[in-house]
Amino acid sequence: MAKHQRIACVAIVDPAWVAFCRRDPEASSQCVAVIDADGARGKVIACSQSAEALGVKRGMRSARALALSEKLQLRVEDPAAREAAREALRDACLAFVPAVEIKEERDCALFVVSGMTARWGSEESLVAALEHACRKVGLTVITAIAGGTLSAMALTHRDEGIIVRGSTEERYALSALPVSVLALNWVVESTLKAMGIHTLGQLAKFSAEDIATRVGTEAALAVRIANGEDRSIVVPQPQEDQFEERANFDWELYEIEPLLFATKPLFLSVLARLSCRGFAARSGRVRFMLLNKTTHDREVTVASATRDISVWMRLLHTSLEASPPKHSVVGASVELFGCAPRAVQLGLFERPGPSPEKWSLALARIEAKVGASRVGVAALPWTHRPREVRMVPWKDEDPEQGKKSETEEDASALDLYNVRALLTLHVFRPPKNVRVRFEHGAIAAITLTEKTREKIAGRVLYCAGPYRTSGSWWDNPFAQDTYDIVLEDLVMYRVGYDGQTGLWTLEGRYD
Amino acid sequence: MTTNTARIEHARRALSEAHRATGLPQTLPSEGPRVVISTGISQLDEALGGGFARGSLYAIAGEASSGRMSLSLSWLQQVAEQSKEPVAFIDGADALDPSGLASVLRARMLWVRARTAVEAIECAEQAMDTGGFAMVCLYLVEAIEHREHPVQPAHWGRVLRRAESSQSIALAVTSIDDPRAPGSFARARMVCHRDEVTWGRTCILEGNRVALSVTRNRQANSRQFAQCMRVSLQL
Repeated sequence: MAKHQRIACVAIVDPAWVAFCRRDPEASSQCVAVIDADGARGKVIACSQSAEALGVKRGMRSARALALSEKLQLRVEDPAAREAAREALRDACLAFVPAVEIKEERDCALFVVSGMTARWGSEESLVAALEHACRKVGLTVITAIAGGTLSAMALTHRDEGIIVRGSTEERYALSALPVSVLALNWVVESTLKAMGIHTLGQLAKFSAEDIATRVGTEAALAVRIANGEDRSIVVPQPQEDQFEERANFDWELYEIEPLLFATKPLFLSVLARLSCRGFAARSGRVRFMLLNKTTHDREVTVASATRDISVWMRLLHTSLEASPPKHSVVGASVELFGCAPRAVQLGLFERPGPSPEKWSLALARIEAKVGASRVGVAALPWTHRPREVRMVPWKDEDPEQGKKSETEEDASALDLYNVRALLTLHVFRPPKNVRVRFEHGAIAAITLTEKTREKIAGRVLYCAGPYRTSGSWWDNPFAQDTYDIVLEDLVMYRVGYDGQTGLWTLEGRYD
Repeated sequence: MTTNTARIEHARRALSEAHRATGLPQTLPSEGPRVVISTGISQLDEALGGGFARGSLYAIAGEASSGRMSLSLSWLQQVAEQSKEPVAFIDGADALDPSGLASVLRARMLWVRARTAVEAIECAEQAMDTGGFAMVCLYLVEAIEHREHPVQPAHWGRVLRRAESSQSIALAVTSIDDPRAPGSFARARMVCHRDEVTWGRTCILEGNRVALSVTRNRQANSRQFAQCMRVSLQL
């Protein structure tokens, strides 16, 4: 006899309420009902215990529910929250198995558990661990393990989870459940009801062939399920390494603090999902849906992969402070890109440096102050074009480690003064326009043509140059003659002549 | 004169009694030994008591072309190489020329191009908050002063506290007559002057020589900070 696969079905209990509570964890202690549509015709699809105590029931019209108590708060269901709950369920299950099938219409996940007892000892232990993982991502679930996907899904409609082994046990467990748990075509279901068949136990008494001739093949399949003979298999779906949570806010938010408060649960949910999969994140995107139907995107990047919520929130805070959204925010989505967590290995004799999170935070704050394009590491530009500046992002690692330093190389080159340092240029950005007087082919005097605090003018003692640079003739050409000059007061300047515009400029001062 | 002396003596005694009443110790706790990093200039190291002490604020001032920026970058390079830690150059005047940097600075120096002097000081505080920079150089030569938010002495107090808590070396670079200098917050003040320009035989500018002196040093006697040294800067 061929050994059949064992299938686990993990279903979210009361999906509408669970999805709502993931967004607003305090809702369970309040008198709240979730309705499927806004307005008086909306129906209650989930409610808190205190609302139930007031007499609120599922399927009740919102107007009628409101009439029961003034305290009752009605919230419209957010499809994005429901979708996020399903994705969280997928991530929780992927912590145990590499492939999962999600049934969107049933809010459940299916996967094969055959052979997993070697790792977990028993299927009961596996179920306990699975439910614990689901609780970590804010889900309350019920788990059933059976021989096929359809029977496992049907068994999740019991009041508590169950593990059934063999056809007899499966038939017995299913017998008390109504036929509606199989989600059959409504014509088939009403025909079965007309025949007096209300439970799977009653259905199991018929043979599949008899039912097939009277009601159709779908009913025959239902009979096989009711008899514990379901052998339907899992069809896994591809998984992604992007983790996204979305929410539409109940109110328009236009200040940073409330916006952060509303966005934090989204971050917490995404990070919990990352944790389930053993991932961390180094970059992500926060998208705010604005009142004027546009979006406001924020790219958030940390120096090293992390799951620390405080780091992400501080970075977002800094980013929002630097440039807040221009309109009120009505919704948000947080998307983090999963990657391997950081492996930390410090040297025994090294001074412990700050954590990457601290680096990221400080850099984000500095960037918020001066602009992201003005912070980084100086790099040589890939051109000889004058005044070109290139900066690369800062990284807390030493690419020159192990190389011989320039000081060591130059140690033998000390001159009479015993100390030697490189003379650097204090660049004027933008360059100052200057008037130049030539004598005998060299610069004899300069005068600034613009008003500045510093008075720069005088006779030139020494002049060296021109040093000619030109290039990029194929696109936006440049040509500059550069001179080094020393004025009478021994201040040294670099003067440039732009061959394209014919302008003389003071490029900088040696300092 | 005698009356003034008596008054001062009286005030001293009153202060002493008031201080005793508070129960606080009569003298400040002695400062423990600090880790020092050589500046690369032996005479300057001698004058500063071994080099730059971690957790301290230093000030360097000078006239135009006196090597303020060159010396600052040279010290940043020295500190980065010796400590194996990154350094930061907070450029209040957006004046750094990346082409003249040593390779260690191109790899391990955070360059922040601030727009105003106060912005530069605030960025320096943020950088020191990380505790990861061995030295933070605050270049304020010709930095634009914000009319509504000028540099206040309190700014330097904060920089000093940040330097102490993070064990970073803070170096403030200003013009010689700049009122925004750290003043008494600095552990030592250095001044540089132009000395001579070195000109090659082929009419090429080779560099200049500057005179560097330590004009005030909290940790040294008068003989030490009267020292003047000459530094050669080469293009």
